[in-house]
Amino acid sequence: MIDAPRVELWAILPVLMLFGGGLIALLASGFARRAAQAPFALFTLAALAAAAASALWLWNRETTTALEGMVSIDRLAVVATLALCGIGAFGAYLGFHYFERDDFRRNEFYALLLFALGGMALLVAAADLIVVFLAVEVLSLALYVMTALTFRRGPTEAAMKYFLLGAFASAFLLYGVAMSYGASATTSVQGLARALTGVGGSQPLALVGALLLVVGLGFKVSLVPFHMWTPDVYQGAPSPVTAFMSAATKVAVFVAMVRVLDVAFGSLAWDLAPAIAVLSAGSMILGSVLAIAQRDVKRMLAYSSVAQAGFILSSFVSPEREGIAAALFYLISYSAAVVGAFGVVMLISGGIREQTGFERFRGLGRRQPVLAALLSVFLLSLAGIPPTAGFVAKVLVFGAATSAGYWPLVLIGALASVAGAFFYLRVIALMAMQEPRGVDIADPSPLPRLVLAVPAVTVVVLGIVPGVIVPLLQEAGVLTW
Amino acid sequence: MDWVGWAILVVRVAIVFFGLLISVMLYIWMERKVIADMQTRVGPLRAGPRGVLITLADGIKLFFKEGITPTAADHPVYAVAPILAMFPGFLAFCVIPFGTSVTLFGREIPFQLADLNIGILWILAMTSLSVYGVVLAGWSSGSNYPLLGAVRSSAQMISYEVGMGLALVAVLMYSGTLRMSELIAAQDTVWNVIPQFPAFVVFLIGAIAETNRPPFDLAEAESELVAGFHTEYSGIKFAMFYLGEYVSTVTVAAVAVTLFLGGWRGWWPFDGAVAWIGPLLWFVLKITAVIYVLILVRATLPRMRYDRLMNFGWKVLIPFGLVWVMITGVVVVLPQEYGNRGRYIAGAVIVGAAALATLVAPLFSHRPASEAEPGGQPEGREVRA
Amino acid sequence: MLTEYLPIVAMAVLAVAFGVASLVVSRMFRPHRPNPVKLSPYECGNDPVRLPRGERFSVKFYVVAMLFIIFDIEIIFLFPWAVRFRQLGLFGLVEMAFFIGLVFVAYIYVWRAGGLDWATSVEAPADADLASDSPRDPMAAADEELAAAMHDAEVAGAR
Repeated sequence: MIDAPRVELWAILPVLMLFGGGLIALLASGFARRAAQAPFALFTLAALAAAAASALWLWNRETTTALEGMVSIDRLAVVATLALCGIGAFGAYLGFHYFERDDFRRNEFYALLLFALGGMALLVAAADLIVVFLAVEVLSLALYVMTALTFRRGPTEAAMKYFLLGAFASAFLLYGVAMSYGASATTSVQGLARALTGVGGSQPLALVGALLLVVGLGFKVSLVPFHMWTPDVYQGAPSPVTAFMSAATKVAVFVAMVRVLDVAFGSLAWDLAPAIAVLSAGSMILGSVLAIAQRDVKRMLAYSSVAQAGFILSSFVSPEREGIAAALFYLISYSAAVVGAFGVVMLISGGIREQTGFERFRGLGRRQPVLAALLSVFLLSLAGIPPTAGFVAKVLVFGAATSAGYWPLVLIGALASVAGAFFYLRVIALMAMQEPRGVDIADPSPLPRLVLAVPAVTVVVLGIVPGVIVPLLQEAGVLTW
Repeated sequence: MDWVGWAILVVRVAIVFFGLLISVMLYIWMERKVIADMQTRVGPLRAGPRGVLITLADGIKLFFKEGITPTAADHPVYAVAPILAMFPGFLAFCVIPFGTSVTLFGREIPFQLADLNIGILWILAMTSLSVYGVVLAGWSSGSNYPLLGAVRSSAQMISYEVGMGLALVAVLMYSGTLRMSELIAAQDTVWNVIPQFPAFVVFLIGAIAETNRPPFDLAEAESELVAGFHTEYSGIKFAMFYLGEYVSTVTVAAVAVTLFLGGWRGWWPFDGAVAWIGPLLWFVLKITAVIYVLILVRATLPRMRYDRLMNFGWKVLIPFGLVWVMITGVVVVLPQEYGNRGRYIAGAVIVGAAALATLVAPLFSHRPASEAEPGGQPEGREVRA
Repeated sequence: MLTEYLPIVAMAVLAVAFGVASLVVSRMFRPHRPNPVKLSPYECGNDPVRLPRGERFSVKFYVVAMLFIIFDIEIIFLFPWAVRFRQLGLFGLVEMAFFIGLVFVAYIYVWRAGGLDWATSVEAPADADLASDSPRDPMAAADEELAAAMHDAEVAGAR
C-alpha cells in the first residue's frame, strides 16, 4: 500500500468554491448557452459570496502551508481573495448588463469568470513556484477566451495577440522556475528562502531565475518592456472583461510577486532592487507619456494601467512590511477606480460595438451628469489627487520606496504623476467644458449607475479615512514564514 | 556482448523482419481469397499453388514499374514518406512476445525481440507514428486528393487513438504492468478478453481505424478521393505503403492477441525438444483468427461516412472507454478494500451509474447547435473533409 | 537498461535499409520515361484547376487536434495510475474518478457546444458578424460619420 498524502482541502476552500462554481456554470452553459443569463449571474454572485465567506473563515487560522507545502494559509491570501471576489462581483454584474443590453448571450462568460478568479485565488495563495505557474496559466487561459467572447473582429484580434504574447511570457515564467530550481533544488517558496539565505557570494543562477520570474509575472501586470499587448487587448476586449482583468490580474499577480520577491528571493533583495526600480521607473514614465498621446479612452486607461503597475512595483524595492501593506492598499484603491472607470466607459460606449473615442465623452457632463461625475471620481483617484484613495495609495507607496532609500525612483514617480494628471484631467475637462455633439448613445438604465457608485464611494472613503483598512493590510503584510 | 551474442541478435531481428514480410504475403493472399469467397469469386489462382504467391508476383511487378514523381511534389519528403509509413509496424512488433524461448548454443533466446518495461506505451507510440507517413505523403504530393485524404485520415487516426488508449488503460488496470511478458503471465488462468470484453471491442475498433482498414479506410476512399493519400504514388513506393498497412495490421492483431487473448498461451502441454513450437503455433493461430475477423469485417461492412466516423469515435468510443475504465476501477478496488461487501457496493455503484446515464442520455440525443439557433447552419449540409 | 533497445535499433536500421535499398535498386531496373502529362498532378484526367498551396483547412480539424491533445494527455495521466491503482486503493480511485469527472464536464460542454459535430459548423455566430464588420444599424453609421467629421474638424483646427 502506498500511503495516501494528506489532503487538506479546507486550505484551498475559496479556490474550490470558485472552481466548483465554474464547473457547474460551465456544465449549465453547455445546456443553456443562449438562455436567460440572470440565473447564471446570480449563481456567480453566490459562488463569489461562498468563496469570500470561506476566505474569511481562514482569517484566524494559524499561518502555515498546506497540501505538501503547495499553498499557504495566511492573511495576505485572505485579503487578496476578498478583493478578488469583490472585483469578480463587479465584473459579473457589468458583464451581465453588457450582454443583456444587446441581447447577446454568452453564458460561458460566467464560467470563465469563475475559472479566472479561481486561478487568481490560487495564485495569491501559491507557496510553490509550480503552483504559481499553474495558477497563472489557468487565469490566463480563461482571460484569453473572455477577451474574444463577443466574436467580433477587434476582440478576436486582441485575444490572439494576448494569447501569443502570453504563451511567450509563460515560457519565461517556466524558465524562471527551472532556474530557481537549479539554484536551490526546490520550487517551494519557503524552501527557496531557506536555501538562498546565508549563502555567501553572488548567486547568478538564482538571480537569473528571479529575473525571469519577474519577466513572466511582469507580462501579466504589463510592466514596461512587456506591456506591448496591453493597449490592444484592453481596447479590444469587451469593457466588462477589461474592467475585470485590469483590476483582478494585477491584484493576483502582484500578491504572487510579493511571495516570490519578498519571501522566496528575499535574501537577494539588494541585488534585485535595482532591476525592480528600473522596471518601475520605465513603466511609470512610458505609461504616462504614451497615455497622453491617446485619442481613445480605453486605450488611454490601458496606458495608465501600465503606469499604475509601475507605481505599485515601486513599493517592492522595500521588502519591509509597510511596503507590502502599501502595495495592497494601492492595489485595492486602483482596482476600485479602474473597475469603476471601465464600467462607466462601458455604459457610455453604447453597446457591443464599443465606441470609446474621445468624441463620445465630449460634453458628457451636460447629458449624463451622473456618469460624468462617477468617471471624474475614478479618474481623479487614478491621477492621485486628494481626497481620493489614489492619493493615499501613492503617498504610502512612495513612502515605502523612500524608506528603502530609492528617492530618485520617488522623484520619477512624482513627475510621472504630474504627467498623468494631465491626461486624466483632460478627459474630465472634455466632459465638463465642451459642448456635446452627435447622438447620445449612453446607457440610460439606473441600476448600473447605482452599482458603480459603490466603487466611487469606496474610493472616496478610503481617501478620507484610509485608517479603516490600513491596519488590516498591515496585519496581512506580516509574512511570518 | 560477445560476437555470438551479436550474431544471435542480428539473426533474431532478421528472422522477425522477414517472418513479418512472409506473413504479410500470406495474409494478403488470405484476405483476397476470403473476400473472393464472400463474393462468390475464386480469387487469385495463377501464381503458385492456389495463387499463394500472388503477393510476391504483385511485389515484383511493382518493383519494376515506373516510379512517377509529380512535378508539384516536395521531393525529399515525397520519397521519405513511404519508408516512414512502413517502419512503425515493424518497430511495434519488436516488443511482442511470439512464443516462449529456445536454448541454442547454450544460451536462452527469448521469442521476443525486446521485453521493454514500457511495452504498451511503446506500441501506442509506434502506432501514433504511422500518422506521419500518411500526412507527409498527402502533403508532399502537391495534389488535391492526397491532401484531403491525408488531412481527414490524420483527424481520424488521432480521434481513434484516444479510444484505443482508453481500452489499453483498462487492460493495464487489470494486469498491473506495462511489460508484455508480464501481461501474458497475468493471463495464465483467464484471458483478458473475458473480463475485459468491452475493452477488447473498443481496442479492435480503434485498431481498425488506426490501420486505415475498411470500414474506416477513409484515407483512401476511392469513390471520392481516388486513392487518398497515396494517389500520386506508384511503383515501389506504392508497394511500401501497401506493405506498411499490412505490417501494421499484423502487428495490431498481434497486440490484440497479446493483450486480450493470452498471447502464446494454449492448451496442449508441449514438452521435450520442441517445447517452443506449441506456443509459437498458438500465437500464429490466434493472429490468423484475429486477422480473419478483420477480413470478415472488411468484407461485410460498407465504408463509413466521414461525419459518422468522427461522431462514432468522439461520442461513443471515448465516453464508453472512460466509463469502462471507471467500472474496472470500481470492480477491482472496492472488493479489495471492503471484501465481499465491496462487491455489493461495486454492483450498486455500477447500477446507479447506468441509471444516471440512462437519465442523462436524452439530453444528448439531438443536435444542440441547430436547435438553439434558428439562424444557424441548416442540417444535412454537404459533408466536406 | 538501454541495451534492451538494441534489437529495436537493429530492427529500425533493417527496416529503413530495406526501404532505401528497394527504392535504390528499383530505380536501377525500372523504366524511366516521364512526360509532362504523366508528371502533372492527378485530377482524374482533367487539367488540375488549382493546386494546394498554403492550404487553409476547415477549423474543425484544428478543434479535433486540440481535443485530441486534451484527451491524450488525460490518458497519459491514466497510465501510471492504472499500473499502480491496486496499491493506491480507494484513495487513488476516488482521485481518478474526480479527475475523469472534471474532464467529463469539459467533454459534455464541448459536445453541447457542437465541438464534436462534424456535419454542422462548430460555432455558427449568426449574431456575431466576424465576417463583415460593416456598420449595419443606422445609429452606428451615424456615429461613425460623426467621428469622421470631428476628426476633420480637428485637423482643420490644427491648421
